[in-house]
Amino acid sequence: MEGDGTGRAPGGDSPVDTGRISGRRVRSSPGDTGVGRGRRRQCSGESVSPGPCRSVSQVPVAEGKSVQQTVELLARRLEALGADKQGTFGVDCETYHTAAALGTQGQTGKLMYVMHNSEYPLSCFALFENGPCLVADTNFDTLMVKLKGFFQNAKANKIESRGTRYQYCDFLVKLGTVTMGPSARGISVEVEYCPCVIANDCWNLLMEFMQSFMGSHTPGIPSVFGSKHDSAYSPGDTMVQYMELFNKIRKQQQVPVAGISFEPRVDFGSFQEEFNASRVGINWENFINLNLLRKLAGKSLFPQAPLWAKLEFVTAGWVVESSTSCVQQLNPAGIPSWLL
Amino acid sequence: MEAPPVTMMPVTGGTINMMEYLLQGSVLDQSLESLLHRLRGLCDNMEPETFLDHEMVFLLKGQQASPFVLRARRSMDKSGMPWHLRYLGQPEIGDKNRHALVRNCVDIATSDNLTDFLVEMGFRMDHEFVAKGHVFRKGIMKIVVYKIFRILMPGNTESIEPLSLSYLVELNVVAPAGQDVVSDDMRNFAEQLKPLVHLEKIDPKRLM
Repeated sequence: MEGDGTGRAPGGDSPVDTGRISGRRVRSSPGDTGVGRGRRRQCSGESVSPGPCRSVSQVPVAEGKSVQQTVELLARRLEALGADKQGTFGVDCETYHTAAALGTQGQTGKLMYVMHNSEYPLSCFALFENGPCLVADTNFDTLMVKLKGFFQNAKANKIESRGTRYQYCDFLVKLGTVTMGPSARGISVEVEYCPCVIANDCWNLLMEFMQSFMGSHTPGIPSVFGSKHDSAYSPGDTMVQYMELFNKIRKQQQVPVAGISFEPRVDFGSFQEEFNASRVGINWENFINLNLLRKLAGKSLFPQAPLWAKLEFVTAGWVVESSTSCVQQLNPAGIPSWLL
Repeated sequence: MEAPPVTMMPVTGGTINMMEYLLQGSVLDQSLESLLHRLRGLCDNMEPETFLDHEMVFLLKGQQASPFVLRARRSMDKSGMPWHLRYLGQPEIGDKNRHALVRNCVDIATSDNLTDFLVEMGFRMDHEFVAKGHVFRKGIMKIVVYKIFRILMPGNTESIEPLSLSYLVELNVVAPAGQDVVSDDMRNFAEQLKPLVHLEKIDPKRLM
């Protein structure tokens, strides 16, 4: 994620969006209107069990808003279109890596993802990046416990997306907040066109529908669609898309840190110039050295430096999000407690 | 493995430790029909069910002395069935009064790309065979009478030859841990099959 260093959106020094949209396409399966979906006990592979086409993508947090506010914005747009709420959904992903025990076999460390999707409550999906995706029943989780001498669960890497399902005619939209531990890291949007199982047949329709509420954030065609040609889409393809989305979101915070992100006031007063200058040379968007900010505010530096924070500009107040505390709305004067 | 017996382990996280209780025996080919006849009489009334399965045994070698074994089984005669992945633990060293062999088991239904996935995980196939036979049920007990075939060319399940002149008979139950009364029911059923077949608790370690 090497940017040009300025981190500024074109057209001035207005803050840029934090996230990126990654297009995901979902292939749809003809004839599957969702009846029995999630209740099918048959655990067939990608080539056997078709499912409706889905596109999973990320929507960046809106300018001046928090993750929660952006999700609400999208929800309102969907409801204005005429969509109805239809329960909730959840997709989670755990990472396993080969333990040192396997080193003797000459295997390079591989990452295995074990995922669950509330649309398929009796199933478990296990996949390797660029590798096969196994669809199994939930006893697979029990097997992973037995395999703990060979595969270690990187518990800190557990990532999930949870939110509401909206139905609009033949479309099903799932708006989720992607969280890793207690912190919200992004927004996922899954759009499904229920009647179709051949991805390439309905991509244009999916895209048109997404434009009606996602506007310019509509993703491009997902990579899983590319290799499908005319074969049916399957639930495994959805999980591959989620895995790619989660990996992307994980990488968006490359520096291991307390996970602090904050949204400073736009107006830095006399420090504005220096603040803007400080963003030059940062090799990813929207991060700033917290100690620099403290220096700018005339405070003593944090003992553990450097601390990097992700900037999400808001129009009012400061919001601090850290790995040890929830998002906090700060005092009315708008000064974060760590700056006091 | 010095882990405590699975029967003593608490149920955590919603998963229950399932145990397989097993009794085994064998009959010569010529005695098969009379055994099947008796089983049809004793077991639950159902359509006679035959099966033709291909089983592959995979090993994962690590730094531990004993490799991790997983069994992948697929049906060769029924289409659309999921593959069956099975983990079997070490037999529990219980009291001698327990009539059946007890071991922890985990059964998972999977999609048909199981072998590719296991290889990706690092498993390597150790051996494979074809099993052909009959299956009967009585309550929660399952009785399987089958013949094992050796596969002459790896990967080719068309050319097979019988491993022996007899049929293997297995009586097994998969039940949650701690239900030792199951083995009593199994022993009582096994009594009814004598003298056609003697089902016993056979410790695999003693055979090696």
